[in-house]
Amino acid sequence: MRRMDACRLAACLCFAGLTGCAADAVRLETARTAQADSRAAVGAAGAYFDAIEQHRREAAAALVGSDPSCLPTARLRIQVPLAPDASPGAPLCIEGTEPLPGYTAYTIDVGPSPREALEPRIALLAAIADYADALAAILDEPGEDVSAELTAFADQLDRLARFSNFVAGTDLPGINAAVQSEQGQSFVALIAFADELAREARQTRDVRALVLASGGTVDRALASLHQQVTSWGQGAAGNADDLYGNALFRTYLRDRASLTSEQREALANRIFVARKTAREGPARAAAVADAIDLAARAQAGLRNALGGRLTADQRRVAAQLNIDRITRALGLVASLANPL
Amino acid sequence: MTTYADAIKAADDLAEQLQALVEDSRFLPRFFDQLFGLRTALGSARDRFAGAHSDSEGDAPVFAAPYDRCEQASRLGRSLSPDDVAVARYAAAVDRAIASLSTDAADNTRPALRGTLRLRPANAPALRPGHRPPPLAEPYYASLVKLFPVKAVTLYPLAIGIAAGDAVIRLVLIAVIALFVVVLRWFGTQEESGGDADLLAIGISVASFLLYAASLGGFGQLPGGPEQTRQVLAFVTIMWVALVLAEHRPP
Repeated sequence: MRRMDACRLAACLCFAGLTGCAADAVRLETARTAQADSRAAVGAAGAYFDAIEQHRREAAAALVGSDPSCLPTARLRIQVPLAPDASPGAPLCIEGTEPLPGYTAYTIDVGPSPREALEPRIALLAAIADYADALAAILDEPGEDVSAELTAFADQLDRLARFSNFVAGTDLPGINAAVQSEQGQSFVALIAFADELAREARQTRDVRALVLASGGTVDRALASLHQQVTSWGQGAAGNADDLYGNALFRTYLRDRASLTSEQREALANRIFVARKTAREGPARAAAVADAIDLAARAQAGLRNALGGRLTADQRRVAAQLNIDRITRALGLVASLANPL
Repeated sequence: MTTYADAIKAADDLAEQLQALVEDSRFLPRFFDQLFGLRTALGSARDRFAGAHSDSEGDAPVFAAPYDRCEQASRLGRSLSPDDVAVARYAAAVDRAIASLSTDAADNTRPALRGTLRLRPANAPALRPGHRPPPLAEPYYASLVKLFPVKAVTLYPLAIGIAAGDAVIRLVLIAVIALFVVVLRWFGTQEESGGDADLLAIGISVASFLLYAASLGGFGQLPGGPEQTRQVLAFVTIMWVALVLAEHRPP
């Protein structure tokens, strides 16, 4: 009978916490979305920045390849015929010499971006990735296997009971046998259920603390990353892609007489592909920006959920979850009360 | 009122225009070396500039010069024909744009006054389809602040105090303030590199100030007394500023 009372008490406690718990489950779900979306945004932006660097390298190689006067170095000095009377056909690169009459010299950076230009972007990606990792650490926290622990505990008690039976000569029921019974199993399940709810509450508390501590920084980092992609990135990618196509075109113009028709065709094909890649640049940047927007929205959704502002859908899910849980708890209590 | 994003966008739009010309068969192969070189130099200068600055700098003079130069070059390039003189003129404008992107911040802060009062033109649509939408024209109130001579308006009560009822001194001081408006706006409406001032904007500012002075009895009173003078001329001033803003929109 006393065990029945304990079970009822546990069931009542579960009911008391159920409403809050369902909201916690919804909050954790939004946290999971925020974590996944943040990680996806970091992945997309990282891949985009890497692609820009790769395109810069390819463009630099194509530029150097277009003229024998250019060396494969990170900084080149080129001369451009700005005046109408400049004599055509001068070498593109000049090193340590003055440009020819009618030409203007420019110093250009080609190849990989300098480290100081990359560092702010790396810092942004790292800040968001750290946050996503911290969220994942909370959400993936391994749950304790309550039923296994209880069974182990019952084993110990059982041994102790048999020993005390032996000493006292009384006839106590086997505790292990009690735990193995259907009622005992229901009891274990109820405790595991209560533990699950407690774990949800703990995780929600941890997520709330994390969002309070670094949510603002992540929001700013996401906004800044968005700008880096749409403003810096799109232009830089366009410059690299255009330079690649232009340098190939330059090679074609200069060497077309000495190339075989197959070589000309191959080069022309590369030029067309390069032009197409360049035209698709804005769409690629927009896709990455969308991924970042999604993460920013998920982050706002998480804040809303933590602040108790659930959307209509979330409320419906929480209500459904409450009903499921009450049914589950009732089922467990019923099987405790009515042993077959 | 120029930010990092404005300057970068202006440079990117110019780069896009230049790239379209590099690929334009009307200019091939005659102008290829020229346009290719400029496109490459502009791209590099733009990347360097974009890496050296950030949007956290807000509305800084360092962004005004690149914005202006790129805009000027873009305007020239919009109707570029494949002849030597036109392309050379365009090339010189692009060269100035590249130079403004390459200049250090220290050099650019010097002419901070130049261009601060200029009205920003609405951009022409981007050349490449599917690109960003053109920025909005300047808001009404920003134009109002730039066209109405706020400094002169704050100086005027001082002039009244100094004149102390003497009509001649008052008129002389009004003339001095009007001159001050002209000088301030002469530089304020110039482009960063110098060049032409916006004479129309200066004229509007001076007229606004004179109307304001008249409404406070600077040129004597209407037959109905100070009250009527103030009310009639205040009405005229407000209508003038409102109408002139509707009319004087940049091209």
